[in-house]
Amino acid sequence: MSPEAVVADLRRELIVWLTRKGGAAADVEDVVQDAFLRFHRAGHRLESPDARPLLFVIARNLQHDRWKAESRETRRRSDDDVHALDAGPRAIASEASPADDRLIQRQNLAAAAAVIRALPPRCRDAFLLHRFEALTYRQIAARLGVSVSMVEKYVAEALRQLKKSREG
Amino acid sequence: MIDRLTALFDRRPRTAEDWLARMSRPDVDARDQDGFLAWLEADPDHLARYEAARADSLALEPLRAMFAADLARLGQRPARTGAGLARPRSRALAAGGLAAAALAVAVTLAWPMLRSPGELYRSSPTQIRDVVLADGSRVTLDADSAIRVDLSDDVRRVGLERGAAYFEVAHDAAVPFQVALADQRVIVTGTRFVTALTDTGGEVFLLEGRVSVSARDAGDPDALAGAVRLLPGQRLRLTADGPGRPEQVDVETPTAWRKRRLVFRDAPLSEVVAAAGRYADRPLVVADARLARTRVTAVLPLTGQGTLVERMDRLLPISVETTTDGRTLIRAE
Repeated sequence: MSPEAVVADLRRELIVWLTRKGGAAADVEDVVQDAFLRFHRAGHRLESPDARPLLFVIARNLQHDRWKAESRETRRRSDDDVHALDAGPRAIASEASPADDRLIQRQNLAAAAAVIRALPPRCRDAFLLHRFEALTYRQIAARLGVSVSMVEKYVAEALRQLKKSREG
Repeated sequence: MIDRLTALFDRRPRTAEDWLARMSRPDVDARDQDGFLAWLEADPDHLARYEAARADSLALEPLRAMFAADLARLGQRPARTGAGLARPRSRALAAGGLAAAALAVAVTLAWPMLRSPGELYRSSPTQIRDVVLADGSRVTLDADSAIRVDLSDDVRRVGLERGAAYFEVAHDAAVPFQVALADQRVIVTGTRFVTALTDTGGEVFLLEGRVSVSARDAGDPDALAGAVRLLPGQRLRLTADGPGRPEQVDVETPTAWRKRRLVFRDAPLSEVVAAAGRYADRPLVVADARLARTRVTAVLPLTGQGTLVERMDRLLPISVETTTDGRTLIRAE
């Protein structure tokens, strides 16, 4: 299927799904458009298997936000409080300088490298091939002589260890 | 104990990291996708956690060089350190080549049309290409299109295998010219027309002369029995149910690509971007709800000064943003 056809199918599915969840037709169109924008901004890929579930939940969240905003709007009008919408914290400025950010990133990377080195050998090899050689699980399984499910377990374990070290 | 039993029977991922690993499997099926959606919906934090896990994994990129030795040991090429250094092909790369060859064979078997006789002409994804056939007929291939041409003594046969093609057929009443697409055949003697494959079948636009659309080959004496005839200025849609009825439409606008330009009359900007995206050298991503609401009338040249995106930026009410991974996000101005 062409990318346009994939997008068209997903759009249709999303519209049906959101309408069933109680969205008004005009809003649903906008929510779906915004969902695709949010999806691409977050760096997700339409060709990836997680695309469909992610788009659905992103659209669902946007629909909820919209409902919340609408009820806020109704309240605002009834209170006649013109400033209510502008009062909230819009952007939270980062206090770290770009140089600090780079230092933090270097430290994080060094810690991540240490975690990867400390993984059991097969788990480490599977993760390295997955992350840095972009091999498929099938190729990794063949290379290491294990099952595809085992490769998935190795990759999940590596990701869990990395997360654990980040959270201290 | 209960936990261990659950772990044995319930192999459904539980954490963002588990799901990230699951979603990279080669065989992610609808059940996995539904399970993933259920997990995402179960807790408002789950989406953020999944995206954080994904971003953290992507952030490891600078470590590639540090693990170059390990990767080399694992039979892969080392990290790209210097530019243009020739390296001997490793065994792993040769294996990759074999896998690619196997894939090509599978595709050919799945699509027998590719094995049909004749000469294949194709255009690359961003290029519109002119071809002159041996009988003097001229063909313009739209970007990412392919035709197979088999000029025999009784019938000049062309198959549209991908995309769209414009034909100016050299007149020869004795040897009919036919274009096969979507199970139908467009049979002509001398004329100008466009055929295109679409998601639902195909389309024929007649610009000049006369064509008949038939399910039978032009070599069949009854080829024109039950055929649908088109007049200039008409479009015929082909679907799985066969040809529809010819409709009088503006045939110049949707076929303007043959003159290296795209023409839009009161079209939504989203449609303009989607159409132009077929000719851009990198993915154009429509990233704004307002694009669908803004309508434009414009002629967009597909060739000329600068890149296509630069020309679009000049001509259309859009703003263009390039992401770090090379995609072009397009928003309303």
